[in-house]
Amino acid sequence: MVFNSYIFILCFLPISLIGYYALGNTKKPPVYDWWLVLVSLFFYAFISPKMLIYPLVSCFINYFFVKLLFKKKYQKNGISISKGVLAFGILVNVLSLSFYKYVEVKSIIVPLGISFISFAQIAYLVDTYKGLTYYDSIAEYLLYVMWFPKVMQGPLLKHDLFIESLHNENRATMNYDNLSEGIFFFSVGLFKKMFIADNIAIAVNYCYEFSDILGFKTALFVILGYTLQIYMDFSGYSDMAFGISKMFNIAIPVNFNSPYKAVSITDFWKRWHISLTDFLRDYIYYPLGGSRKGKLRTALNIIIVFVISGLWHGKGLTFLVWGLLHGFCQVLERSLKKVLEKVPKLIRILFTFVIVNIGWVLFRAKDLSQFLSIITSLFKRDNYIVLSEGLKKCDLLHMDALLNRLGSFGQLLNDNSSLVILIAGLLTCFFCPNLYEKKHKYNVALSLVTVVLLLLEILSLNGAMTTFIYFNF
Amino acid sequence: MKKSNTKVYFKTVIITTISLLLLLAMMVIIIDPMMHYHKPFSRLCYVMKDEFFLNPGIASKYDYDAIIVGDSSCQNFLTSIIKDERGLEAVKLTNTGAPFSESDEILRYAFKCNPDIKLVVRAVDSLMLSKDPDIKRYPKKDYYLYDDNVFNDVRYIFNIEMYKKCFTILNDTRLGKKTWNMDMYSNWEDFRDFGGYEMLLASLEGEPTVDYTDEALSIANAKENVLKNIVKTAREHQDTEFIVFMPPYHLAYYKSLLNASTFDTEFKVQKVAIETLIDEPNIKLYSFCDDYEITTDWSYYCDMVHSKQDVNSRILEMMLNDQHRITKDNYLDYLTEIKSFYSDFDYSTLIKEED
Repeated sequence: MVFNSYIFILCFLPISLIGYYALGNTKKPPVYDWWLVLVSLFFYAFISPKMLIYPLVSCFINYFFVKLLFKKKYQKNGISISKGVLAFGILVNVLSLSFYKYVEVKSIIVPLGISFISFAQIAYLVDTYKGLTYYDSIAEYLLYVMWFPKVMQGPLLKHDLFIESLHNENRATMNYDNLSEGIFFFSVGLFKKMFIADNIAIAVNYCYEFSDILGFKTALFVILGYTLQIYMDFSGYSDMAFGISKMFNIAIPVNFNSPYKAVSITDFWKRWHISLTDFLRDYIYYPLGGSRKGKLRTALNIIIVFVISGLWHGKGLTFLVWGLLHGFCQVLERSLKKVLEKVPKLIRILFTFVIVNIGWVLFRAKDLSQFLSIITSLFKRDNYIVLSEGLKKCDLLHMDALLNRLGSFGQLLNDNSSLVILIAGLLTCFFCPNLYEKKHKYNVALSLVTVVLLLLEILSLNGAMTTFIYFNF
Repeated sequence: MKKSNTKVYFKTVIITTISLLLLLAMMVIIIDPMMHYHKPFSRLCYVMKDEFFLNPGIASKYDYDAIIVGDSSCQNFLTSIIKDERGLEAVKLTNTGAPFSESDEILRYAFKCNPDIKLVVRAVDSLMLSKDPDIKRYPKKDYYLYDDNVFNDVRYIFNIEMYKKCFTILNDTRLGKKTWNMDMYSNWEDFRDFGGYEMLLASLEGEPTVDYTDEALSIANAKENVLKNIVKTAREHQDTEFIVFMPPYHLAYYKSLLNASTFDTEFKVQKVAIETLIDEPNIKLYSFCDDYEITTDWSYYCDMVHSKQDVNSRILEMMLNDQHRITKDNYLDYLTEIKSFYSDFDYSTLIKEED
């Protein structure tokens, strides 16, 4: 099931919430925990019950390892066995993830969100080994892995934050602060997804079909267009996930913090997909030695982390090069730290944005030759048919007929609808405060905005129901 | 944030959103722009566009005993001719560019709604014949008006496009406009220019509109298409008469096939289609590829395959009077004759001297 669907908004979410708070009256956490497990599994397996086989088998195997680790923890000489269990547990997760992601078997469907499921369980095993986890029930463990707002695309949960929420006594009591914040974040996230990401995607996909005959303006449009698309798609999802979880009084971490305002690639990764960065740092970079083993080893560790990040995002050379690009940039930034600090902030932001854009071209391109084709198009003359067609592909909030009545200005807007979305979207990315930073006043004006957003979204769902870019990961 | 504020905010958002959604849904259910719930109100002026979504409503809510189904080659037919010639009330369930599978889909739905259909008129045109028999232009989710499932009606009642249609209906009604009748429905004659010389030149020198590059696949597809999307339904409805016809394409179409060296394939494809259709007792097959008065006169055409309403009226009258029928006895002669006519034709005579 996806968030941007009738079934989710009109049935699944209301029923899940009503059931949760109704069962909350029992004051028995296992009862409403199992309710949440049930709805999470239903959400995951909505397309086909077969989809449940992998995550359930994986969860039970991992839970078995977790139990073993707990058992050994209470023994005095159990450390070495614990290490073995941990290593074996990690290996099982890495191998199954690698098998599904990189071995192509036609009859096997790759489980949705497999990367997130595997990483979450690796994190849990490591934390248990370190003695950082509680003795969680199977329902709590299943929720930690399969909690529906985040199972498909993250964020990757920190065990402590999540379980702390679960252990909150008043968790299943209606909290209007959280419900309000939740519905507001959901409506904004859905708007980002449906009206910006999916909209600009139509133009970007169209232009990418002609990647070998693009010119400067079209290539620039397509590069910036995808940069906007991927941000709005993923941050839209994260906002929705945050909002939905909030409605259940369960905390999940903030995953984005205005990433295109980053002053360096290092800074970018502190703002983009923050939970993944945290995971890579805590569970790969630090165990590799982090920055404690000299400059050369630090550089190598960074490169390793970003190669893994690239391969985690997808198979193929483009993802590997994308990871290397980000890794090398960070190594360079470390060694030139003092020089870079003297460069004006605006120039650093722009320079970082250029690198990020080049990275996204790699991310979007089907192979390296398409990447080169797009980049070299920046130095070519434009194909005006592709450009003019691409520029009018977007829908401006269903206002095309109204705009046509406004005469030449309306026509101009309609003919450049993609450009309007692109400029408005990028301006928002650069100049608007992050949704999470701002203190929202829950007054009449905001309720009107929320109602308009929700209506616009629900009434546009028939043409929507696209999947999210990060579904593939 | 104050607790009371958030309580008011949350309740306002939920109550207002639900109320407005219900109001909007009521508007769609009452006006019913796609005629999904009831017959169109005679006082309202319905927007007779978006055929794919409107056809199921016409099929289920109109009173009729004959159907015209197919792509652009059928859109300019006048149902009044069927009324005059046979006394049957006909509806058009046509759609621009509809492949055979799509035409069959709406036809099956019509039979489900109205099992007493007496006559079906449909095209077996070369443009669609060799396409994949299972091709679907619309995703499965868009078939929400093709069933009685109330759950997928959310796509209809909570759909911004339907509200736009409701407002257009109300506005057109206010302006005194009337709902198009079946003669006007889906008819595109007024929107195209006919007999344009530039278009003729482009057509004569251009690529064909059908892709016969893989001859074996084209022939196999043609057979499967006819069997699966025409014959199967005809066999299930033995009491219904099926009039199936090959529309008259302009000779520029054959020239374009000669340009692409796929001229022979056209006749192999036609042959297999004819042989698959010809033995069916309730199917009458007609072809107008040999009506040279039409196919050599560019003034009837806006491009090499699309002709005026006059042509549709003429061929419909002929079919209803059993003229130009292809039978087991004459089809081989028919194929030999048209093949030699279009291969021997001196296409240079179509080009003005100054060119």
